[in-house]
Amino acid sequence: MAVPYKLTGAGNNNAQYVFKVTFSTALSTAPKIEGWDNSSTFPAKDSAGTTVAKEIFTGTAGNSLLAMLYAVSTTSGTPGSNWKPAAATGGSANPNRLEGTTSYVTDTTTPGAGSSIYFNLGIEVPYDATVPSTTSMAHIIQVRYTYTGSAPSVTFYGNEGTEGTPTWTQFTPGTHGVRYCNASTSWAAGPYKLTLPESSTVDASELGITT
Amino acid sequence: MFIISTSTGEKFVEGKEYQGRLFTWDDVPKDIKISSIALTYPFPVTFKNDGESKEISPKVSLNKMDMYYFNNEAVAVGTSNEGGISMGPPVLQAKIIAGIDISRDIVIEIRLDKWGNTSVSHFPYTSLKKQIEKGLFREEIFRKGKD
Repeated sequence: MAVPYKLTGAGNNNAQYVFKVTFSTALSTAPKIEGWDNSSTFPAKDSAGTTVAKEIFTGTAGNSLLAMLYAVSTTSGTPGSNWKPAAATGGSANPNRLEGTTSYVTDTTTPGAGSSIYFNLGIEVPYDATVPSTTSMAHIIQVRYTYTGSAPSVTFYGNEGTEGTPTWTQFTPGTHGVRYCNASTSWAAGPYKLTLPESSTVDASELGITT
Repeated sequence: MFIISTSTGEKFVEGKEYQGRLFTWDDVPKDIKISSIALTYPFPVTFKNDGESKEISPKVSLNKMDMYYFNNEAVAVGTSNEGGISMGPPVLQAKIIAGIDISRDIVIEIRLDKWGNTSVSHFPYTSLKKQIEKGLFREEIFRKGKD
């Protein structure tokens, strides 16, 4: 199937099969899932993260300067309900808030050749976040990994099937992006938006891949 | 690029032609005894002395360790918002050599990134063994060092 589509179970839900990353050759350590600024201008994107200076990582007064993205490794099983971490843990933790190499998630396995890891991803945005968010929220999700032989090819997928029977759609080159949206978003037609609350914070109820 | 010297005078160099492809750490025989391992900088460095320029390739090295390992570190960007999904080639970030001194219960890691920045870290070998037990590190990449 083609974009746009909703990522099944994405966000602060008890879902194991949301994102999948496959490595063609064996890794030597467990890979890490990181979030970084995207400093390039749409539709370009950075080839690797270098800074975490944008509001999505520095937070606002409204969320006590907390990084907004959070992730959990689900390779070894479901994360449980309401798995979102209240705060960042320095270094690696599972789950964790994402902020470059300051706080990140390490997978629970070291994939062999042709093996995959799985993770889930969410975002919690405070009421006073900058609008429009095009610049302040521009980010990349990257996987950091190690290998000792031939360099693996790395392929990313999103699940647009069900948790019980995933249908993995490969991310393809282009101007596609992850959208963090309200509940009941029409993924075929949009609009793709997350409405800020008048106070406190809001979690994206749905995530999807759009053009 | 790593360069291995063995107790019998052999040398193994990453990226050299080997059986129709380039030599990697996985090709390092498991029955050799490594006497030292070096990591070269990713680009040459130019020195100027009395107006004369000289280009050299600096190295960092480890020796007299019981075991060694090596890692390539890379990143692949999978998703972004307002920035497109990437299926571009992964980007090599750094190369890492490490030595293990079992009796002192220490692992010394040297990480050399693609800009030439070098960092050294150390941690207990016992903590690395716990990582191996949890499946977070592949023990097969170890190679033997001194007797």
